[in-house]
This record gives sequence, C-alpha cells and structure tokens, in this order.
Amino acid sequence: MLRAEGLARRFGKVVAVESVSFEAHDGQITGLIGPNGAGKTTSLRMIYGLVRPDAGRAWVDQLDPNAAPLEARRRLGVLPDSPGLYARLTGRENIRYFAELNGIANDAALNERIDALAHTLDLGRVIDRPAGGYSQGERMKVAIARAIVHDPPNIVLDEPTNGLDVMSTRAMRDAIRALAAEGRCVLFTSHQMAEVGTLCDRLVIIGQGRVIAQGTLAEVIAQAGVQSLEDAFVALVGHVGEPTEGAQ
Amino acid sequence: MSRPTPPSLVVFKKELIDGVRDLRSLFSAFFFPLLGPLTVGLVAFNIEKMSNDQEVETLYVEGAERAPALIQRLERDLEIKPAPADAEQKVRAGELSVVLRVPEDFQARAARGEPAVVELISDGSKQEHRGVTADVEEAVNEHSAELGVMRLLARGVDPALMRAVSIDSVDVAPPERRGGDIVGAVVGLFVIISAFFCNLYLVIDATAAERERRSWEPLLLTAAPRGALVLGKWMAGLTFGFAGVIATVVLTMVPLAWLDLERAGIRLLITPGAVMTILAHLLPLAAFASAAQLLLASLTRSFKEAQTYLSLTMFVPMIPGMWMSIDPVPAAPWMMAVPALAQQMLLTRAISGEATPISWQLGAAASSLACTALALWGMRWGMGREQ
Repeated sequence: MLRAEGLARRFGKVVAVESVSFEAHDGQITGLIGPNGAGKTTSLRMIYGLVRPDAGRAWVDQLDPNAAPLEARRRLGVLPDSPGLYARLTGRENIRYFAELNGIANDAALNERIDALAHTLDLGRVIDRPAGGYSQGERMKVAIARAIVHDPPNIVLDEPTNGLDVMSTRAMRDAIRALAAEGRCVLFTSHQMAEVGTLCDRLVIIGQGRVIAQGTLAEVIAQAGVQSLEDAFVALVGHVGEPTEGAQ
Repeated sequence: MSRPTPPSLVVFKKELIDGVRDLRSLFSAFFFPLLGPLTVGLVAFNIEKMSNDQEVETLYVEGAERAPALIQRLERDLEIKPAPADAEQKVRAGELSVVLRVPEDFQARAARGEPAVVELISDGSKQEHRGVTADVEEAVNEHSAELGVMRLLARGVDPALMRAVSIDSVDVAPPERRGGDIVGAVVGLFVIISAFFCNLYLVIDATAAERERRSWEPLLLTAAPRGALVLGKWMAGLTFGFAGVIATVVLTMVPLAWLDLERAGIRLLITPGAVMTILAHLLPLAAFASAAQLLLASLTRSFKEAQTYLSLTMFVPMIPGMWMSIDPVPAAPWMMAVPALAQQMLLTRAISGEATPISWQLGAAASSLACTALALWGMRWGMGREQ
C-alpha cells in the first residue's frame, strides 16, 4: 500500500506540490493523472524518498521512506519516466545488477526469475543481447523487469507505455494487470485517458499541485457531471486553471 | 540458497565489466600514459648515446707537424686525424665535424714570443660537436698557460702573479643524484598523469553519464545504501587508475634498467624492491585520484561537462612534476601533506636511491588517504541532497 498525506514541496519560489493526499491499495491498479507540470513526478519522488517533503508524510506499507529509506525501497519497485539502461550490459545483466543491489543473491533462482520475467514481458532472446541495440519497447520491458525483479509488494510505473507500439502496449497492460492480480499495489501515471479508463481500479487526478478528484472511474465521471473520463479530466483540471510554470 | 553479495562489491564488479567492455575509451585511457615510458626511454637512450659518442670523437688537424707539443696534449682526449685539403668547405657541408688549422707562421710567432694563433673551424649550430670544441679550447688554454709559465720563469718572474683570483668549485652532489632528480621528475610526471587519466572515463561513466543516460535515479531507488554505491564506484576507479600506474612504472623501468646510464653520470636504483616501494607510495595517490575525480564528476550533469572540468583540473597534480623536471627543489616535510606533490618527491628519492624517513612516507600515505575519505564523504553527502 502506498499513501500520501498532505505532501507539499516547493523548489525556490515555485510550488511544485501544494497538497497531495491519496491512497493506492494492494491488489488494485491506481492511476495518477494530471497535466504536465501538475506535480505528479514530484509527488512520486516524495513517496520514493528521493525528495524530502516540506510538509506532509508518505508511507510505503507501514514505512516512512525518509525514516527507513532502505526498507521502504526494498518494498518498492519503480519505473521512473524515461529510464536508462547500461548499453554495454545485456538486458539480463542490467536486471541482475538491480536484483543484487536489492539484496538478492546471484544464483540459479535469480536466473530462473529473470527468465520468467522475460517470458511474461515477451522479451525472448533479446534479453541476452547488449542493451545498446534495443528498440524503445525492448528498453521499456527490460526497465520494468529491472524494477520488479526483487518481487516488491508496491510498484510505481511512471508512464510505462510511453513510446510503445500497439503490441508492446498490450503486453505491458497484461503485465500490469498480472501484477495487481498477484495482490500487489500498482500505481501508475499515463497521459492516455483510454488506457487509464480500461486499466485502473481507482483514479487520482492532480492539477496544480493538488488532488482535484479521486475514486473509481464512475465516481470521478459522476463528480464532473460529464460522459467520459476525458471530459471529466478537462472539466476538473480546467477548474484550477493553468499549471504553475516550471513545476515538475 | 547462496548469500547475497554486498552492494559495494556488486557496484564494483558491474563498473569494471562496463569499463572493460568500453574498448574505445579503455584504449584512449591507457594510450596517453603509456607514451610516458616511450618518452623516458627515448630521452635515456639519447643520453646514453651521447655519453658513448664522446669516447670516439675525432679532431681533424691541418698542419699538425707545426705544433707537436699541442697535438700531443690534444691526443689525450681526442683522436687526431689529418685534415683533407678543403677542410673548411667540408665542415660547412657537414662532412667533417671539427677542424683545427695550425697556420704556417705558428712556430715563428711562438719563437718570437708573440701570441700564436690556431683556427678552430666548426658549425656552432650543431650540438653534438660542442664536446670536441670544448676539449680543444681546454687543451689550447692549458698549453698556452704552460708556455706562458715557462716564459715567465725564463724571465725570472713568479707565474703565480698572473693568477689574481682562482675558483675551486666543490660539488657535493653525488653524480647519480643530479641526473636522478630530473629522470625522477619526468617519470613521476607520467605516473601521476596515469593515476588521474586511466580512470577518467570510468569515473565519468559511473557518475555524470549515469545522469545523462537516466540510470542514476533508478540506481538511487534500489535498496543499496548510498555509501555502498560511492564505495563500489571508487574501488572500480581505483582499480583502473592503479592498473595504469603499475603499467607506467613497470614499463618505464624497463628502458631505464636496460640502458647503461651510469656512463652519463646518472645512477638510478632500479631493483624489484625499489619498484615495489614506488608502487606502495603510489597506491594512496591512485585512491585519492579516484575519489577526487568521482566527487567532481558527480557534481556535473553530463559527460561533456565532466570531461571539461576533469581535464582542466588534471593539470593541478601535474604542476609539481613539471616544475621539478625544470628546477628540482629539495623535498620538505610539509610537501608530504599534499597529495601528488608528496608522491612526486617520494618517487624521485626512491629512484635515485635516497633514503626517506619512514615518518615522511607514512605521513604522505595518511594525508592522501584522509583526502580520499573526505572526497568520498563529500560525494555521499551530495547524493543525500539529491532532488
């Protein structure tokens, strides 16, 4: 379970996050949506413990990522926006590196786990080639495998389908559903309303550093008094006006 | 189930593999410092060649029969051969080295007690003939002084009156030290370059390039402590830097040990023990180089930015070596507190067989290691403030 309570953070004079509170439950897919610069990434970084909040608290299960960073990170798998791989290492070596950094022994069991992930994500033999030659889709899949190889109960995916083709997007969505079905807490951000609508159990809409609406898809649409999620998004985000310049 | 590897070792192993696979960077990293042994070998080879050549220098003399006493004196240092007809022309053309011409009126003038003149024909722009002309000038001056003394004595005058002031110079430096200082300075310069240069690409790749390729944030989001990440990257940088140092030292010692420099007045102490001592002195420097460069590179945001700053700051540790190769200054205790300067001094003393107090050696190591720890702590602190 991931939880944010009154998170706030400013960088200099720019208010990146004013007040963000939400919950993402185990066994569910929670979508975090908002316009560019609304404070999504900063909010996520406060949950990871990469950015210290000015006010409010975050929880990864029962752990405060600022008080117990290593334990919190071990229970967290993160795919940041546009993640980089090591070009001279193979996909398998990239994944194994992160597994070992998360305290997993480099043994036969780890190799089997990587093979299983490669199978789920439809990576095939690509996994044993240097990552420098990967396509955007292959890069994204290896980055996902790298994020979840240590079997974390909480998973955050920052725009996981960004730049993927149709087939890869489908494989990615299936993988995300499978992760939630295993009882994990999955929090993900996206710009594609259709994707959010079909994939998410719950929605959190952020605009200008605040949570504007949250609930199930039906609840959010009802709250806006419109017909579709896209209309709801425009209606709700439109209320708070243009996002703050430069806030990320 | 096997036990997990400590995260610092995981990082260390990964950075090494990554570094070794980057063949182009690896080649350029090790190519430049390995020019050092080549340069040192060439310089030493030339010194040796020049000192060997001095024994077989030839002086061509025209009219040797007119000054038998002078020729006898010259034969002590030089091989005398009769000069061919158009001697001056041949010196101009570079066919002959140095020619001494004894004019026909030499004996007549000498008999009259007038200054007798000999002509020394040489090409002053040719360095390699300086030795011969100096020998001839010395012999002629000596011969002239002898004749003068005899003339004064014949007239009943004390020849000592002619010498108002004389110099008696006392050079206390053993010959090996004078040459050893310069050779040590040049070797030290290249060794220090390799400590800072061979790990350059690896260090940048492990820091600034991580940000640039956007693998830095995922790395920080693993359960590995920040200190372990710093430690692993530092160990990898140290390995590359020290590998470069070992290669440079060993390869430089080969030509120096092989060539016979003693004849040129340079005695170097090149034994396996001395090489081990030098390497032991340089390990703390390699540790410092890796840490300092990691700290600097971790403050930058891209490969190019890091490369610019690091190649600029690399000149700083090179300054002592450059200075010493032009103007060797004696080592002082305070120098041991300054990384790079301390190792430069220790290396020069070790190579010329000069004993260094053990307290100096330990002080140099302690200071370099303290600076290393400070730099690593600084990098770890910087990562804690990550946004």
